[in-house]
Amino acid sequence: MSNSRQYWQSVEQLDNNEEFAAKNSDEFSEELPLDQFLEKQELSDSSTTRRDFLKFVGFSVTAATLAACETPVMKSIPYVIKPEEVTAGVANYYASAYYDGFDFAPILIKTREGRPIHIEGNKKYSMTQGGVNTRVNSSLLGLYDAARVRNPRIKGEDAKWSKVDKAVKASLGSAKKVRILSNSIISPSTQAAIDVFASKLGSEESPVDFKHVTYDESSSSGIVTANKNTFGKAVVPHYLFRKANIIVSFGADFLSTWLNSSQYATGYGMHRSPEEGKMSRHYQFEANFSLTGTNADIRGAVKPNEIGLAVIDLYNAVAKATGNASVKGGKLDDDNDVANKINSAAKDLVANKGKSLVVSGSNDVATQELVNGINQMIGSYGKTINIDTPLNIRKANDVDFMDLVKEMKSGSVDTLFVYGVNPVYSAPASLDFAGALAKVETSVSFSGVADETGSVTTILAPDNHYFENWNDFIPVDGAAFIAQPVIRPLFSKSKTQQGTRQAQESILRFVKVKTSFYDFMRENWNTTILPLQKDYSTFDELWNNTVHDGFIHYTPAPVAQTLEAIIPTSASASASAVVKNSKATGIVAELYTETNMGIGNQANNPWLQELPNVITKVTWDNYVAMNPADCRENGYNTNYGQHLPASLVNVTVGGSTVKLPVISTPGQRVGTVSISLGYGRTKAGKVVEQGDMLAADGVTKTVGANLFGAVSTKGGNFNYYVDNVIIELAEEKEYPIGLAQTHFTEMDRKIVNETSLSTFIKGKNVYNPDPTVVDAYGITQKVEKLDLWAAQDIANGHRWGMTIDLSKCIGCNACVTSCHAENNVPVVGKDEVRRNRIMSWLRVDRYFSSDMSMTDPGETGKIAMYKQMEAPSVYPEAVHQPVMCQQCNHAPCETVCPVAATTHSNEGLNQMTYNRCIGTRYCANNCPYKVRRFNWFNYVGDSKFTDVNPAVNDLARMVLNPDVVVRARGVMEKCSFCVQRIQSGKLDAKKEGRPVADGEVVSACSSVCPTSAIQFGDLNDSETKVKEVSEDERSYHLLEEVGTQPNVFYLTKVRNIDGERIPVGLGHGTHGDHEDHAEEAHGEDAHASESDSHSEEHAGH
Amino acid sequence: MSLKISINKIKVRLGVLSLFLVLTLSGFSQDGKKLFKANCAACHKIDKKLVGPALAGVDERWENRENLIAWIANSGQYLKDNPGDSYAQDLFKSYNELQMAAMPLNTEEIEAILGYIAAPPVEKKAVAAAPVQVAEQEDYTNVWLFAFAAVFLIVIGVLISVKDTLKKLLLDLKGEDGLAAIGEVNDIGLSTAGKVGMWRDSNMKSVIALGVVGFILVLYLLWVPMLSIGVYTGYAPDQPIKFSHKIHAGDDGIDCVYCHFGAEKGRTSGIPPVNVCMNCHKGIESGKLYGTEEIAKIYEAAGWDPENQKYIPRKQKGIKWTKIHNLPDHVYFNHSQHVVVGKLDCIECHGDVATFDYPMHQENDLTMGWCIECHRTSEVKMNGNPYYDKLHDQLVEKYKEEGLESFTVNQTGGIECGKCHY
Repeated sequence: MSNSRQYWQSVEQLDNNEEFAAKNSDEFSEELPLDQFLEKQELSDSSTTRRDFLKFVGFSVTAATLAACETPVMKSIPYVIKPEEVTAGVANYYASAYYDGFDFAPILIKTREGRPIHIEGNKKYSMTQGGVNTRVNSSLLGLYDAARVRNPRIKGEDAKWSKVDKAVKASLGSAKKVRILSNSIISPSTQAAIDVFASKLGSEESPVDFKHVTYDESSSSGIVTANKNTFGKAVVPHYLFRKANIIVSFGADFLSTWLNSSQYATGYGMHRSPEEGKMSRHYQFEANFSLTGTNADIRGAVKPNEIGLAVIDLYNAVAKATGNASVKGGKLDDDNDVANKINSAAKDLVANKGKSLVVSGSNDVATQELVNGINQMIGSYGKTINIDTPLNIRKANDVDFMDLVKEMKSGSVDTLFVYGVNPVYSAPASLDFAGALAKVETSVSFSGVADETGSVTTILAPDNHYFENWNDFIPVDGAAFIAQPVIRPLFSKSKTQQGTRQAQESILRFVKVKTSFYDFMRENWNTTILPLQKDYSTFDELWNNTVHDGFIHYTPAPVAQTLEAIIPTSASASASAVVKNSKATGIVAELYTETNMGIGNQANNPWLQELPNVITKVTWDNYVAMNPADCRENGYNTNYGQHLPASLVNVTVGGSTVKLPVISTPGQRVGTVSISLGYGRTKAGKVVEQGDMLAADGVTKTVGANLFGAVSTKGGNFNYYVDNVIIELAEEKEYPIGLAQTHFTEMDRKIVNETSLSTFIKGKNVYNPDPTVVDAYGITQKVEKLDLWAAQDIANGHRWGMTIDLSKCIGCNACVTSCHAENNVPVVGKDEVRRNRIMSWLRVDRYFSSDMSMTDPGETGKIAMYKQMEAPSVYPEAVHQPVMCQQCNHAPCETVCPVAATTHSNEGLNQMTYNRCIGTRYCANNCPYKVRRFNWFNYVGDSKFTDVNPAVNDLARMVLNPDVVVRARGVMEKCSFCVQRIQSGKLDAKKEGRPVADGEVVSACSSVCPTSAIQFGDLNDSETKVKEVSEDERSYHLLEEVGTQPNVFYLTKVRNIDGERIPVGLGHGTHGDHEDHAEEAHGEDAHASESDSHSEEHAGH
Repeated sequence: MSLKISINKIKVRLGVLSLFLVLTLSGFSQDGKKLFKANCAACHKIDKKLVGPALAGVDERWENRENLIAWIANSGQYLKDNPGDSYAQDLFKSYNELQMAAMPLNTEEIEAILGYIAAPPVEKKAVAAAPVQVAEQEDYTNVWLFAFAAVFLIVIGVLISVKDTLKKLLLDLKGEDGLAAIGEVNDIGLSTAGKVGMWRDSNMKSVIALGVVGFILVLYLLWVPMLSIGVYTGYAPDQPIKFSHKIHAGDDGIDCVYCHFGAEKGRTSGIPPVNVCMNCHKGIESGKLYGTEEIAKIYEAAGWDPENQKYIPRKQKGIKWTKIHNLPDHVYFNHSQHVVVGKLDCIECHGDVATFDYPMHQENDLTMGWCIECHRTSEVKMNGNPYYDKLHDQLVEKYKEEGLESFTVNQTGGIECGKCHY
C-alpha cells in the first residue's frame, strides 16, 4: 500500500475544464500576433495596396542590401586619462551594503567600465554567505531609473542648490519646532550627522524644539513595546535562526519580508537538508499563504485576528509541559486541526529547550509579550534570541509617528525633513498625513524621485542613489558595514542640471557644516569604530581594509545584560488583552508585505513588477487572495489565466473602496482574505503607470491598489489586519490578469520529488528509486539503457552541471532577478505576459500538493481515483522548483533545429546561437521542460516596451551586461548556464596557468541564492561541491524517464514530518510510456486525451 | 689653512679635470648623449623646461661644479646636507618640491652628461614636414573605355546601315528570287524586332547557350559582391590624427602592448588613452613627418600646455578615433585569450603593423571562416600551462589511435558555436 501525492500548478489546471484545456494544449497558445498588428487603425485607414506593399518590400530589401555594403563607421573615444583600476572589458567588484529601511544586505557590486551591472551578496560575510534577496539584487535598476529627479525643487519648480540651502537655512533660522522623520537609522555616521544638525539648531536665547522621529513603513513596533514591557529594553531582538532546531512562527514571513530576512533565510537554509546533521522542524501558523508558510513542515491556517489566541494555546501547552502557570485563552476558530499542530509544536519546543525559537509577525503588543513568555520558558534567550545586541532595523515606535502627525496637524511644526520614507503613500489614511503635511510651513523631502511625499513637500532635495554614496551601517552591534560609491553621481552638477546631493551632506549643509560626508564619516569612524576593533592599529589600515571587505567585526561597548528568564507575571494580563483584541466581525483582511514588492519603494522597477508572485505567480498586480472554497461560494472565477479574466471586486475597508481582482489562493484561511501592500503607487515613475488599475483620481493608471491606507492604528500600533471588510463584485465584473505559470501544464509525472523525513531514512529505493522503462520486449530496464541518441563526448575537460536542493530552496525569486540582470532578459509588460510571452530564462515553479493519499483504485477505476486525488485540499502544502534549461546531454531541441542553431558543446552545454536561429520554434515545441523563450518583438526597439523594458531607455540601457548579446526579434533564447561566466572563469584560470577552482565559476542564479540551494560547477572534477551533491542519494533528474540526461540535478525535498510519504508516481511502478504521453499532450486535444492516457499508462503496469 | 689647501686641491683637480675634459670631450659627448637619453630625457630637455628645468647652461648657473655633481647624483641628500644653499633650495621649491630621484651615476658619467649638455651635437633639423608629393594622377581608364565603346557603337551602326543599303541595292538588282539564290532573305521590310526574331529562330542553339551563359554570369556577378558584404579587408578610414604605426612600432620599436595594453588583460586591446601618448609626447613635440601639427592635436585632446609644460584643468577633450577592426555584436572575442593563453603574435591577425604608415588598415578579413580556419589548424599551447594538464592527458587518450600529442583548437571544442556566440 503506497500513498502518493498529486501536485498541481494552478487551480485552473486542477479543475481541468474544457476551455482551459483547449487553451493550454499548445506550447504557444497564440497564433502569430497578426491580429494585433492588423487591428492598428492606421493600417486599415491606409491606402497601401498589396502591390504597393510589395514595391516597398522590394525597395527596402534593396536599400538594406546596399546599406549593408557600406562600411559602418564606428567611432571610438579612449579615455584621456585612464583610471588605473579600469580596464576595458574587465569587470571590477566593489563591496558595499544595501539598506532601505526594509532590507539590509552586504553586497558586491559588479561594474564594467565604471558602470554597475550586477549585484551579488558579499560571500565574506558569514551570516548571509553571499545571499541576497530579489529586492536587493533588483535595486540595481534604481540607479538608472528615468524617474530620478535631476534638480532640487522648491514648490515643485526646479531650483538651484544654493537657493534650496538658503530657503532651508532661512526656515531653520526662524523655526521653533523642527522635526526629522526617517526610517530606522542604522548608519552611525548618518546618526552623527543628525546629531550635529540638532546641536547647531537655535541659540541660547531661542532654543529650538528638535526631535528625530523614526517611522518604519513595515512596522515591528509591537515587538519593541513588548520587549520594553518584558525586559525594559525597547528593542527588536537579534534572532539566530541558524541555531534553531524547532522554529514556530505565528504569521512572521521571516524568509522573505520579516525584519532581517536575508540573514534569517541563510540561517534557516543551514538546517534544511537531512544530510547536514539534524534537520530543523518548522511550524507556521498564518492566515495568508506566505513564502515562509510554503516552506513550513507543518502549517496551520489561523485567522489574522486569532493569531494571538493561537499563541495563547501554545503558551499554555508549553507552560503545562514546563510546570508554569497557564493563562486564560479564548476559543480558536479551528478548521484545520490547528490545536493538534500547536500541541505537537509545544512538545517539540520543550524537547529542544535552548535550541528552539518562537517568533510572531503580529504587531500586537500583548501577543508579542506572550511570545516572549514562551521563548523564556523554552530558554531561547541567550541561545537563539539575543536581546542585548539587538537588531537596529525596524525599531521605530509607531506612537512617535502618530504623535508627530498630531503635532503637524496642530500647525506647530515649522520645519520637517523626510528621509528614506514616503508617508504620504504609506501612512494609514486615518492619520491623514498629507493634510498634516500641508500645515507644515517648510517641509523637505530627500527622496530621489518626486514620489507621493516628495512631490508635495515644499522642498525636494534629491538624494543620490545608494550606489553613488558613502554610507555605513550597523544592523546589529558587532559588525559595521561600509557602502562605497561605485559610480559618480549620474546626475551631477552641469550646465543643464543641478544634480543630486547626498541627503547626509544636505543635512550638514543646512546647518552650515561644509565637510563632505566622506570626510565626516571617516572622522566618525576614527573616533568610534577604531577604538572598538583590534584587527588594525592605524585608521588608514582599518578604513582601507573595511572598504575592501565591506565590513569589520568589532567588540561593541558592553551593555547591561538582561537577567535570565523570569516568567512574566503579567502573562495573564497579556492574555486577556489578546482575547479582547481578537474579536473581529465580518471578513477579516490581512495586509501583508509581499516578497517581490515589499513596501513598494521600488515600485518603478519593472524587473520586480514582472516578477511572478511566489505563491500565485501573478505579475503586475496585487489582488485579493481568497481560498478557492470561498471563491466558489461567492461565485468568483477560479478559472482564470492567460485568456480568462479574474473577477474584479470592490474592497471596502473603513469607508474607502478600492478595486482589486480576486485570485483563488489555496492555503488562505477560509473566511479571510489577504491583500499585499506596496502596490498602487501613483508617483513612482512611468513603470507604475503600466498597470490596469486606476488611482483614486480616476485618471492615473497604477499597478495594483494601495492598501496602506487601510492599516489600522488600533492600540497604538499599526495593525496589519482589518475586519468588517466588504467585498462585492464590481460593476466591471472581470479583470485581465497576467499569470506566469499556467503557460505550462505539467502532466502527472515525477517532477517535484518530495518525501518525509521518516520515509527518507528508509533509503533511496523507497523515496527516490531510479526510473525504469519497459522496453518493447516487456523487459523493465533502467532509463539510460535505452537511448535514441549517440553518446555526447563530454567525458573530457569540463562538464558544467548544477544541483538544486529542493529541501533548501525557499522559492524566494532571488535567482530569477539575478538571471534577468546578468543575461539581459527583457521585461515584456503585463499584456505580453498574458499572451504567454514572459521571457524569464529561469522560472520558479510552485506546486501545490493535495493531502489525499493514493489507495488501490478498486471499483471506482483509475480515472475517478485521479480526480479524487486532485480534489483540492483547502490548505495544501506547496513546493518551489526553479526550472531553467536542463542542458540535456541528449537534448530533444538540438535534433529538431533545421539550421543547427542549437547544438551541444563538449562541456555539456546546450548552446543557443542566436545569429543562426531563424525562429521556427521547433526546439521549444520539442523541449520537455518548456524553458525556451521566443522573441516575439524587438524588445529593445519597439515603442510598446518603452516604459517597461530597461533596454529601450537610454539611461536604463546602461544596466545591460556587455558580455551577453541583446537578442533580436524572431530568435529563440534560453538559459545558457551563464556561458559568459564560464568562459571568463576558464580564461582567468588559463591566464594564470592553473585549473579552474571550485566556486570560481558560478551561474548568476547560484551566486545570489541565500540558502545555497543552487550549486554550480564542473561535474568532471571529482573535487567540486556540485559533483558531491549530484551523487547524493536524493538527486534525480526532471522527467528522467524521457532520457534527456540533463546536467541539472534536483535533490528530493524532505519535509521534517512524521509518517510515510512516497513521491508521486513512484508507488506504482514504471513510467515506460511517458514519451507517448508527452506527444499526446501536445497533440490537438491534449486534455481530452489526458485522462485516457492516465488509464492506459497505469493499465500497463 | 685648511681652506687654502682645499682650494688648492680643487684647483689641481679642476686643472686635471679640464685637461681630461679637453682630451676626451668628443668621446664624452657621444657617451653623454646616450646617458642623457637614458637617464635624463624623461624629465629634462636641454633647451626647454619639461618636468624639470631646461639644462642648457646648467654648469654656469651652479657656482661649484662639485656641488652640481652631488646635486645631480642625489638631490635629496644634497638638500639635506646643504640647507644653506639657497639656489638649490629655491630651485627645489620652485618645482613644487618635486624631488629628482637619486641617479645611479658615477662622477664620470655625470661629467659626460654635463659635457653633452654643454656642447650638444648640432641636430639635423627635421625637414619641416614637406608633405609627401604624391602626383595625383587622375584615373582616365574609364573615360577612354567609354570613348572606345562610343566609337565602336558608331562604327557598328554605320556598318549595319551600309549593309542595309547594300542589300537594298542587291534586291533592286536581282529581285527576291535572286536574293534567295545566294542564301539571303528579304528582311528589308521587317521591323528591327522582326529581324531579331528571324535571326533568333534560325540560331536557336546559340541563343540557348548564350542565355545559359548569360544567366550564370548574372548569378556570379550578384554572388561575388554578396560575399564581400560585411567584409572590410583593407578598410583604412581617415583618422583625426595622422598616426603612423611605422614610426612608432617600426622605427622606434615600441612594443604593441605598451600602448594596446588591454590586449593582455581583457577583451579589447583598446585604443590607447591619451595619457599613454603623453608619456612620450610630453617630451617629443615634433614628429618626423608632420612636425608639430599632429602632435599638437594630442596636446589639444589632453589639455596640455606645451609652453608652460602643464595640464590645463578641465580642458581634456579626448580623441574621436575611427575604429578599424569591427566585429559584429553577436560575436565574443577576447584578446587576452589569444595573446596570453594562445601566445599569438599581434602580426598574425593584424599584419606587419610595424610597416604600416598612416592610415592604418585592416589586414585580414575577420570573417568567421577566417577565424575557424585558424582554429582548425592552430595548436593549443598546452605545454607549460597547468590548466591544460588534465585535458592534455585525456585528449592523448582519446586520440590514441592517431597518436596525437598536441591538439588543435578545434579538437578542444574551439569551433563550437557557443564558444564565441552568446
